[in-house]
Amino acid sequence: MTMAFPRFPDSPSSSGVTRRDFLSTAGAALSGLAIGSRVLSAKQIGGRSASDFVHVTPASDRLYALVATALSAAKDAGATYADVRIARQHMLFVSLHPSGGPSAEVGTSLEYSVRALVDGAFAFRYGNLLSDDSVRQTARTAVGQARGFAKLGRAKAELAPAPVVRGVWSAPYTVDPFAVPIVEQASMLGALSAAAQRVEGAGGRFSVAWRHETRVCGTSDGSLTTQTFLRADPYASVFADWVGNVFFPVPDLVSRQAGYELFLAPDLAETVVRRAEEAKRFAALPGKPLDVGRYPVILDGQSMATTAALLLGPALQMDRVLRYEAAATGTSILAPPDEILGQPLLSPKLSITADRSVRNMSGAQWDDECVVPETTPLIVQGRVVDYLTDRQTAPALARWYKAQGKPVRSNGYAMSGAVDRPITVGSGALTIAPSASSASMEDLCRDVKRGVLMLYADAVRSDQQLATGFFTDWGGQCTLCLIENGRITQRIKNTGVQFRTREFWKGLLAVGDSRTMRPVSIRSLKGLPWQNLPADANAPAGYFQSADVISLTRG
Amino acid sequence: MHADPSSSVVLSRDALLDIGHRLLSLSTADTTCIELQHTARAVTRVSHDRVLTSDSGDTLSILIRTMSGAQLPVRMQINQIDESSLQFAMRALNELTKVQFGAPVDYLRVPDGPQHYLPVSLWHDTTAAAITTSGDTSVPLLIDAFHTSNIPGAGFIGVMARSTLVMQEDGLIAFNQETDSECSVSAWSPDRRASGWSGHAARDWSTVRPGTIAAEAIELAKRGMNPVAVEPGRRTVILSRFAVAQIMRHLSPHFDAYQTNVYASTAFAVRGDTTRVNKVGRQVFDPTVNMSIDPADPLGGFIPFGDVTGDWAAMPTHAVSLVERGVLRDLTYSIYYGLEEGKPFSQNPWALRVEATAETPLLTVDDMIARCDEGIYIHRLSDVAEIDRASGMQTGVTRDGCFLIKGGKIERPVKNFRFIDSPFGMLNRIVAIGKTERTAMGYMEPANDEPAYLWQWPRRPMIVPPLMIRDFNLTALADAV
Repeated sequence: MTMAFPRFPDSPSSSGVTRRDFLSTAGAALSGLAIGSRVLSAKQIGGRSASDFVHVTPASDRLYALVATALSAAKDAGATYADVRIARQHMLFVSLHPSGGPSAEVGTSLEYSVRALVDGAFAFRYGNLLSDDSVRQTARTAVGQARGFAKLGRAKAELAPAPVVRGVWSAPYTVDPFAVPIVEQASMLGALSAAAQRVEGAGGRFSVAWRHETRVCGTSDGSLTTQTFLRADPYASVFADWVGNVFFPVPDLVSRQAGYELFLAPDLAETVVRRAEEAKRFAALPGKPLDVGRYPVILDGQSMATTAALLLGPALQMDRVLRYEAAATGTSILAPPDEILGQPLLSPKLSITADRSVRNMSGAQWDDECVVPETTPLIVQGRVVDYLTDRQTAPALARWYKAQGKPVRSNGYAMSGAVDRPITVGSGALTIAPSASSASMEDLCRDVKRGVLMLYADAVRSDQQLATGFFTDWGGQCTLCLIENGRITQRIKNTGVQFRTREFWKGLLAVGDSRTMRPVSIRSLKGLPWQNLPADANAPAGYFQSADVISLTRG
Repeated sequence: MHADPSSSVVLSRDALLDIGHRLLSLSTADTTCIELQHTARAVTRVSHDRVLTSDSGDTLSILIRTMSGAQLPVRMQINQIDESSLQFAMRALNELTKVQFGAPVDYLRVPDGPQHYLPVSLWHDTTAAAITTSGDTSVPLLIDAFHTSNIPGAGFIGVMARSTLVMQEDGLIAFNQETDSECSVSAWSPDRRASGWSGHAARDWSTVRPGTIAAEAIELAKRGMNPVAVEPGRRTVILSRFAVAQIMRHLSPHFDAYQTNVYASTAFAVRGDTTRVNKVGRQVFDPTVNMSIDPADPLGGFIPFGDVTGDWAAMPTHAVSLVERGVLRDLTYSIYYGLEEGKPFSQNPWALRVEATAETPLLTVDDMIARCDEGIYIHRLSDVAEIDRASGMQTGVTRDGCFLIKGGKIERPVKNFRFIDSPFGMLNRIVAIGKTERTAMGYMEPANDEPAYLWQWPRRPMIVPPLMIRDFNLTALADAV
């Protein structure tokens, strides 16, 4: 290590690896890839691509017809309201076998579902063998079930109104991964792994899953939307000190809606090497537990984003707030709305918006109820001003919306992990507003006499109500460092950091500027049976007044 | 092998064989393995005096794995069975298998041909029938219970039936049908400061009593009202079966022989000793504890063969005694590591039986409370996660019933705690152990290394007793209710 103290994360450095070096190890074929706006075809690249192996059927017209058939059957059977979703998916997963060879899996699937509302009761049915008869029967059965449930319940569901929409949309991308030969993708992963290993004592793990989905949603109100998503789900991590659990993510290789251009950034190899060098620097720091006590805590952008995605986002999902999820995923510390909305409960430095911008895994033009998602301010300067809603939960905020002069309607966060899973409320993509004035990581740490710096957290434990949070460096879930007089002096090992959620966020003293922003995309589970929903967040670094540090011993 | 019951909720053996034979006839690969799984499920969720949502239907999944020569295998997943889709899938796989991926791999070959599987009884007609009736009969019981008691709550009723068939071109055919069910109820006090939970999981729906479950959850919520804060620290605790199941399911990866012997990453690994790599043969837990896995366990069981997703072939699995009188007797071996080591395949099923030895007296929870001078009764846990594989250390938060015990009696409800402790320590601090039963788990996030194909509800059976443990580490108060 050439410096007395390690640099803060993402400070400029040079790795000594040139793009030429990278290309020479990645294989001659890669040098033929053009980075630009045109979609590359398999013939141009050479070799077999996944598009040769996936069955693209039925055509969209057929999907529309099936939606219409199901809606018609539901209406004829007596549904007050119905929505139908059909999806056609292709999947490609590429990884590296321990022998060094590529491992590939392709898949294609069709799914559909019908949700029917009768006399204030919902029923949801799904299947995957598509035919006119099957969707018709599914719709009739859903209506019959809903009618039965209506007789059993003592209360009724209601839906907030939504405008009728019709449209077609596709997520933008540059390079179709299903057109890139599988061997080339494996070579790319191998080259990235080799780049990480250029740093002595370091290594990397790389794989990628691609999912292409065409999802058609139709409602009995008359809405009909067709969306095509292309989701990239890379796993990209470099490590140094495997036993000591120093795992650092590779910047820019974050799950998002994108094509193969994700892997074509010209400096990607250098980025991997730099990150491996950084991991090695941190692994080399002396490490020991920290004395138990209360300390100020600085979270880097990724750690802030992870905390937002896993704690604040779910706490603002209206179905959790209303306790619909009490027997499943849990409830919310930001409830009941009457006691929360508009109150200065959290730090004035905290402002969060939610959106479903298309680059994120959760991005969409319309939600699963054909509602256009709104960019929704959720927390403004420490005050909760809204929740994440769908058509079923929005009416619970009627009094608040009317007081604000807003219409009572869903803000477009009806989501499901797949169309054969029930619609629930998701978080979309959360953004914590950065500081408008200059505030780098170094600036945030400057006045810290003795505190904890948390880097690259990809998990935070909580509880059924999201009332507490718990981080640990064990298992590489984050890297903890001691800051003394503004400088990193050591790693902290065998330590847990725990906090009470509302107190913690009340104690947010400062946020970093846009330079410190980092995105995350995490899979979060929701419901019972549970389903995977993407939870995206982008956040600056944050300086918190305090959290409790506890010692973890392996006993 | 299990004979076909007379049920039409899921595809029969013959129907799945027909699809499989059609695919095999189209394959040109040296080896082809096909797994077909048809699952029918009915879930009803109740909250706020109504059916909140239902979630019912059926799904078919087909996973095909092919390999030619010494090349790495390729896999394809489809879920359509029309002739066009099947032909396209096999044509595509045949092409994909021929693509020369890297250097040849020296693959161990599993034994060819038909296999013999342990007879298991995982199917109940009552459960299959309940796929269409469970909501109608259970929902009124739950809604009425909440209404009558004036305690709000939410309920889950889930019923499942599944057919699984694995077949290969060499004549291997493995078939099984199973049913499973679970009912759970969460209730909370009107002031939202207390909650209760109860649940029951069984392959036979006729043994599940939703009304009783609701009553238990409501009673806990009532008794939990006005909790007080008690100092955290190391305390004697009585863990209900629900809490024990949530902790013990994280033990499964530790029994994996490859992780233990090769990566030395589990708590059963021995590090720094050139004479041994694991603790087999050593006392690892209290002598009153046995642990085992058994596909034919009468309280739960699981499919008696490995699967294409996790193990690449449907080799027979069998019962394994993992821990006897606290001594580690065996680990679980995947197909390939087992072949390397000369050990029989014993799939780590992520299902576990933990029980007292035959000579250990069993105590009920009430007995344990009566014998406790001072301690905490913990009914259930939330967000249990393993935070360190080497020690098995876990963390989580108590919920749904946490009570202070003094002088052999429940004195009062207390606020929840965060705990940090390891079952490898806890199971050496056993004070008393109760009767072992299959235990519902409700909502639960996947454990570290839990295979993705096992994430889905219902989870495989956890069969555990209540435990009284001394010096359980409650590290902090938790505000969560």
